[in-house]
Amino acid sequence: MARVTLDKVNKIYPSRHGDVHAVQDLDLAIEDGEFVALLGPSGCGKTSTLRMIVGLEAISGGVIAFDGQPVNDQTPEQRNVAMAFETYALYPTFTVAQNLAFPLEVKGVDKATRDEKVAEVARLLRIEPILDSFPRQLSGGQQQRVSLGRALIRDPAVFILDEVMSHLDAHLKFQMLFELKRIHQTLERTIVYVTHDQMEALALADRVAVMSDAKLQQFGDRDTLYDRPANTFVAGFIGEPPTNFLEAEVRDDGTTMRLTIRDASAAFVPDGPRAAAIRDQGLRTVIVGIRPQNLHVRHDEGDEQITATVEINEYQGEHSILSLRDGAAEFRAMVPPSVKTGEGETIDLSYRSRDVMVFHPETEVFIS
Amino acid sequence: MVGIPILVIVLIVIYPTIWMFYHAFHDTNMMSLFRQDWQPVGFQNFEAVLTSERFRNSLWHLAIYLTFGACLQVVLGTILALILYESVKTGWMRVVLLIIMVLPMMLPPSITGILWRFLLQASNGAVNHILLNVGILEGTERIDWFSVDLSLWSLVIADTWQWTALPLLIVFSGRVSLPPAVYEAAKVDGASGYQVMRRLTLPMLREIIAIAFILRFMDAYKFVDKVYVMTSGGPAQSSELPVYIAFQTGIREFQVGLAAGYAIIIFVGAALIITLFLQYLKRVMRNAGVVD
Ligand SMILES: Nc1ncnc2c1ncn2[C@@H]1O[C@H](COP(=O)(O)OP(=O)(O)OP(=O)(O)O)[C@@H](O)[C@H]1O
Ligand SMILES: [Mg+2]
Repeated sequence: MARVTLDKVNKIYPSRHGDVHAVQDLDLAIEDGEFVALLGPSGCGKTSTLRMIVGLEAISGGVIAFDGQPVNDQTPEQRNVAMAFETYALYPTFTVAQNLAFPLEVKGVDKATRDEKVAEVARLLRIEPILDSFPRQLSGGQQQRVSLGRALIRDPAVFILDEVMSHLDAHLKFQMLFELKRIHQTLERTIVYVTHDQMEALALADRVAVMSDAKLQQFGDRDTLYDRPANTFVAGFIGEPPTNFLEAEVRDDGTTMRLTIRDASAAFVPDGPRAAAIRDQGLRTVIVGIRPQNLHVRHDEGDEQITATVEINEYQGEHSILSLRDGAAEFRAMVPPSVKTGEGETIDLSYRSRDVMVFHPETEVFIS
Repeated sequence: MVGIPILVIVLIVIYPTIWMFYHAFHDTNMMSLFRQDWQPVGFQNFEAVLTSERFRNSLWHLAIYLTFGACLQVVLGTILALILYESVKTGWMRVVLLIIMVLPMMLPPSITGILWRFLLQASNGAVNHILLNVGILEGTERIDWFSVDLSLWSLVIADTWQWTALPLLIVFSGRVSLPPAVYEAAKVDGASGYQVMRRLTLPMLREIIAIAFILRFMDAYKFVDKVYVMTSGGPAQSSELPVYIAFQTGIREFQVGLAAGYAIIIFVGAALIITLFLQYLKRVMRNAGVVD
């Protein structure tokens, strides 16, 4: 059990073509027993962060502490962390069963207990039929589950899981996510889970840390990330299809504020507090962010409305994606599949003014 | 164009082999060669080889030589390679050390033999001097490295000095190419240095070590040059190896028929052992997934 805190943690890889600053001033406070996901695009520094938490990579700057005790100088063994590697890192000369049992074997756990634990983990991860195979005989997804199993078989202070589901098919992934969630609920261990799949992160984690460009962008639960994204990166990264961003000019007559989309006729109306914030900062232009899900064909009491021309109506089963145009502005809306408006036709779309997100035109920071 | 290589092969491999097989069944020696008349003797040459005590002794010497020479070199080479890998992490330091260790290998074996004949001299050889200085020998005590009891061991020492670097190089490059991620996993799992070595490194290097051993074995099997320059098989044939006897019989005594008998028996022995090795290697490789 451990509370894991990262305080201004940096990772710099020296290299001949200039240093690579892979993690920059990362602050993160993970509560004891919390399930945290580290989410971000490829190369943003997720694995580097994990490796520093585990103790496989020297910390270039800052402090990592477990339960308040700095662990910068401790070995992985002293930190008592279990890790599942992105590259699996299975022991090639061992069978699957031996791989799973190795962490227990080195701790001197007796054979009977080992076998019992191996059987249990194998059942959980659906790898019983391959227990006697060698890693080289396994598919990517099978190796991945063995690697996950080798971490889960332990009883560590923290579980560190690096992209442990990236090679599983959708069905299996769903089952594994469920198992992992259940394991977390039974064991109540701290879990740090790295992924670049937001679905996994949002489904599993209590809180999600969104990283980009070596920096932490935002750390919060799914509602916070969804409704109050720290900046355009988070707003664009969380949610599928991605948020529409539109440059807008502020038209303000003192009572109602309209954000007129540049080179278009549409204008969005922000809610009261946001309008006030824009006024406070004296902004002339802003970036408007509106999620495709928040543009509706149904009109409710108090909704605002815009009109646009449909360019593509893409049927996707449970919903359709409309690619829309208004002047020079392009954006998308997610509508029920019953909407049959075709190419070139105009459509009226409603939105609630509190769903209009507004970002600073230069810093791209969320304005609340 | 294809004709030339084939011609070369016929000339340097096939023709001498046929020649050897032919004379193995004849009483060919210097005189009969000179007179161009030799008589068929059936299996007499082979019988003579197999019943000779000298040959049987030489087999025993070979066994000792292979066990303590080839094995020692592989064991030492492996240990040194792993120590070098673990303790020296700087790239250029590794290269420098490897070059130093590989230097003996670059000397011709005959030169190495002569060098060690001097180093091991009883009265004023460097080795006895050192032993004297560190106090293992006292006063006028000297070890006679070329006595009946020790001359075979002198060969082992000289050969080990020269060839340990080969398994070292092979095992070192094998160790370098082992996946670092596996070691990180072991570190996270909390395995001790001994457990990592015993359960991971050595099993992963098994094929590589086997190959190093086979290479050293094949070379040691035909080992003759150092015997020739260091001990001439003596004293009292105490350091003779089969190949050396064949060489003596054929080149020195010109008993071509008998030497051919020796050569064929040695060849058959080598073929048998190599077959066994290849079987083993195939099994090891199959286990490691290198071949099906
Ligand atoms: N050992 C290293 N030496 C030099 N640069 C490195 C090293 N490891 C990672 N980097 C660099 O650091 C940055 C972050 O890498 P990292 O592996 O942490 O990314 P990641 O977020 O895990 O990406 P992915 O999702 O692709 O696994 C990358 O630009 C990478 O090139
Ligand atoms: Mg990674």
